[in-house]
Amino acid sequence: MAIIDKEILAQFRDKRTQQDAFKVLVRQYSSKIYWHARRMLRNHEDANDVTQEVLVKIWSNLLNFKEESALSTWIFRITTNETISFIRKAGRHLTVAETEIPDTSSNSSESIPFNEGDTLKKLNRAIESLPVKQRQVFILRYYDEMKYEEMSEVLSTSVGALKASYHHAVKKIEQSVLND
Amino acid sequence: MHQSNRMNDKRRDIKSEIESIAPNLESYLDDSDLLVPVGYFDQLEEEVLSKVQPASSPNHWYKWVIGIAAMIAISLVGFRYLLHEEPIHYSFEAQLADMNDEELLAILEDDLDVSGEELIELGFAEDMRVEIETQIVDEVAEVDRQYDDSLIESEWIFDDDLDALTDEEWYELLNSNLGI
Repeated sequence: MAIIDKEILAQFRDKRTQQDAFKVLVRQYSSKIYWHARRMLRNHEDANDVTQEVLVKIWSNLLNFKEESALSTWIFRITTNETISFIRKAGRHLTVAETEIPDTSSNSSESIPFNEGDTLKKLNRAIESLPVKQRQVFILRYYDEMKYEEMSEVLSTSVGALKASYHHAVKKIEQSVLND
Repeated sequence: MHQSNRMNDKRRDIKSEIESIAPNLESYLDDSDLLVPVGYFDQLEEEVLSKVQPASSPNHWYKWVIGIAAMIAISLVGFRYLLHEEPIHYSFEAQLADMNDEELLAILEDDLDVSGEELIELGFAEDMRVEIETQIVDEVAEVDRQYDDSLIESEWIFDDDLDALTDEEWYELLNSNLGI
């Protein structure tokens, strides 16, 4: 487990430093949680809801975290579960919902004017065409840069099954993007 | 978080993996144009912290007041219970309601200077009629019994053979009965 994660946990267990420890955790992980949710849901508002829900759950359950896995793995497990739960509750295959957001910045550090190009639209459609589980595997691997071993812990799926799922997802996206 | 300008080993592995599956796909997967409102993550941190903050100090103060008031109330009830304190009725009607018939009759006898029998005759304390009448019958029976006993004793004296009395016995009999 990363040193910073150990410090966060130690400080969180002390009532006097709990708030500060949680602030560090939020700064460390909120962006990762948000971007996973955003790429899964393709919508800022929904991603924001899921991110807040995940962070509140982390606060409520962090004292029960037994350190049997890395903190990041535990946080991603909560994130993926909340995202899937959100999709099921919404009862819809989330559609392309990227509309103009006034006063925005990109996921890179530089702020750029909003202009969703054709390429991004094609990518959105391709990712949305994937079954939820394949979409999850593709995003965790390609964008979240997660190792298969960690992904196996997060999704409780074997590494072999994850590699196969990723392969199928990439092929489908390629087909969708090139034929769109 | 994915940073398009950063190429590390992990990123390189992922790129080479996807190129081996779909050689022409990589250029379509850049989503750095996905946008978030400016200052979103700072605002997110504040929002989440406000949701997980413990109750603020005014609420603590309010809870303390409620707690102390509850303790005082419980203490008073307990103290009163320990003293077996009966509720006090201040109204005359309430005091009368708590009295039984005997107590009522005693008050009326004192205040009106009449006997219980007379009160019963006047229609007061109807429930006590049988009890008082029984008491009267018992008293009469006792007087009769005492009278009968005295008669029996007298008969024993006059049944004696007066002729058999000696002079001293005559003298004693006359002395005790006639005082001569």
